Amino acid sequence: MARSKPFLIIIISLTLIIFPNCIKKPQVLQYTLPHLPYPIAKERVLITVAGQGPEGLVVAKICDDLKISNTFSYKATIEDLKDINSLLVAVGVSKVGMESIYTDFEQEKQRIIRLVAKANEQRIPIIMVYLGGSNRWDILNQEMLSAVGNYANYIIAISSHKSEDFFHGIAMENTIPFTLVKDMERFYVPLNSAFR
Amino acid sequence: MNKKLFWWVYLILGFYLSTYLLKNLLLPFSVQILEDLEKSIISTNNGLLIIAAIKTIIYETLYDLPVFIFSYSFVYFYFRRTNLVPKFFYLLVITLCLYFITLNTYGSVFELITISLMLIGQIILIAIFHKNYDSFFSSLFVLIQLKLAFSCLLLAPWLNHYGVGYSDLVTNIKISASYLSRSSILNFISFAFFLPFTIGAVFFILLSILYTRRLESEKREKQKEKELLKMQMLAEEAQVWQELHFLIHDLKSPLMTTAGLNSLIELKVKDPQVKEYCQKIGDSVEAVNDMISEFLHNEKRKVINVGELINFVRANVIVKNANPQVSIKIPPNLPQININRIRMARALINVIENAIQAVSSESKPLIFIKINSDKDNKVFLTIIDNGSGISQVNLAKIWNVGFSTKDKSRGLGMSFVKKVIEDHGGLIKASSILGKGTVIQIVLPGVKAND
Repeated sequence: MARSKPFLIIIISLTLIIFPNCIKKPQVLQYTLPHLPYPIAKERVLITVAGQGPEGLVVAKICDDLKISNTFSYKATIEDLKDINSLLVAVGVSKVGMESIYTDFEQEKQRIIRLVAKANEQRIPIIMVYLGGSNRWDILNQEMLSAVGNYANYIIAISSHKSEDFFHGIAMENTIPFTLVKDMERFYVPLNSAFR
Repeated sequence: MNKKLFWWVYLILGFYLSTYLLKNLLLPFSVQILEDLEKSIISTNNGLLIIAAIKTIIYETLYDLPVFIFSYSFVYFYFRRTNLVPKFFYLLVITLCLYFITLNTYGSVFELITISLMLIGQIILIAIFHKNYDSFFSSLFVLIQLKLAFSCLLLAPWLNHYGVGYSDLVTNIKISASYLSRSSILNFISFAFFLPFTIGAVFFILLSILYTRRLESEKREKQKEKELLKMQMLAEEAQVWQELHFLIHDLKSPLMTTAGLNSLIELKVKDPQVKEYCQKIGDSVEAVNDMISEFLHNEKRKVINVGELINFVRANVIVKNANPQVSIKIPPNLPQININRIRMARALINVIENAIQAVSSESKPLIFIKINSDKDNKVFLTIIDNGSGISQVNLAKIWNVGFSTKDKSRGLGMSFVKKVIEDHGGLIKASSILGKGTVIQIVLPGVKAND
């Protein structure tokens, strides 16, 4: 028994470190606008992803499901804005995704800023979406969201207690409407409301 | 290389190199996972999502595996003589250091729950296996199994609320599964893989413990058997000596009869020639009687010249198969030695006969006996042969009772030699090179002027 004492102490200490983390319960989200009262964007929409996560492709598939005419490109540039009536930027910074196309965060951020700035100049409505929830909530994604948020006309985000204040702040700062949803299923309605 | 330095180089350089190599090797694998994921989203194919999820488990297992392998093996070997509690502490510190180095270098997400579970796993393994260094690879296998099991947990969206599964690739999988409404599949895969790996690891630990205990008990049994055999040999040796004593003692009776009858003949005959013969017979009987007494009584010592001893030995060595060239060098002015002549001669005969046997298969058999002394009056007898030699393993055993490489030998010879030399306050050493020959050196105390 005496020999197993230190062993038990270490196990208990580690459990105490883990336990408070385990008992953290997710807070209830304070939901915002359920959807837009009137459409702000027109088809055809250019969809791109800021950060090379799979979110761009997922949004493109959701647009297909909603019969929203779209063009999806992982590396959309200002040339792709030709004949486009709205821009949808899905923010999802994935290091693995960026490494797979041999780019880095700074290059990716510059591409997106050039794109949204040009779209803004051409008065193309920009919708920023964020599907990462709490999983993607890190400094790089926040930086990208802030960069795109400055040009966005509408924000839809799958949010968590961690990110709620952040989206609220961006929306207030740029005086734009925003919708926070709990999960992917609830994402369809606000996205559809932006077009119809 | 210094052993301690080796382990530090192993930890620092080995860890950096293996992590760097692993990251580069995993890059194409992660691209493959992203492609599978993309295909699963485009074609809403659950099968591809499952494949991508399984590949992600492998990726996440390998990603920081060097952290645990290097910290565990380093603590296992470098701190092998350290107590268990400090060992736990070093394990925690080294694992966390390597983990944070990986996080900072390659920018992954800190997973508190999985790193804590891995630390607990490592501590348990060290606690179980810290005494059995033969079980290192078994324990390493269990460690990898545990890493695989805890990596499975990363995939479960259900555990998101508890801070598990926030790494980049796992998030990609979770977002895709969420779009495909297949989060439940991820929960299922996660636990379906976690449980067998964990149960497997527990069973493996139990089996290893059982196996180790069995090995230990077998070792103990073998040791006991060895000791028993040694005791048997000693008992046998004692019995042989006793019988030899009886036999030699019995020789005394006919010798006494011979001596008595010889005296009678000497008294009765008048012929001076016969009287002289009787005298010689009497002297010889007395010499034999002396020899028997010396053999029977170890404490019976005589101060003699070394040359006298060597001549006696030379006269009694029986050369059977080989006819080696024996060279003996006896320098003048050697100190005298106080010995039991018969026993000492028997011991030297034993050594020389062994040398003769060792050179029997040589084309040019040579035996060289060198004798010299030092200023402390010690006499050095060195017997050198160019025979087949003795392996280092056998060399350590030649003094043991019962050890012999010859089929018909009882293995008492060299133990007898050692006993005789030590009884005379001397020393005996053997050195040998397999295939080149053997050197036996005997050191005996010489008689000083005031002795």
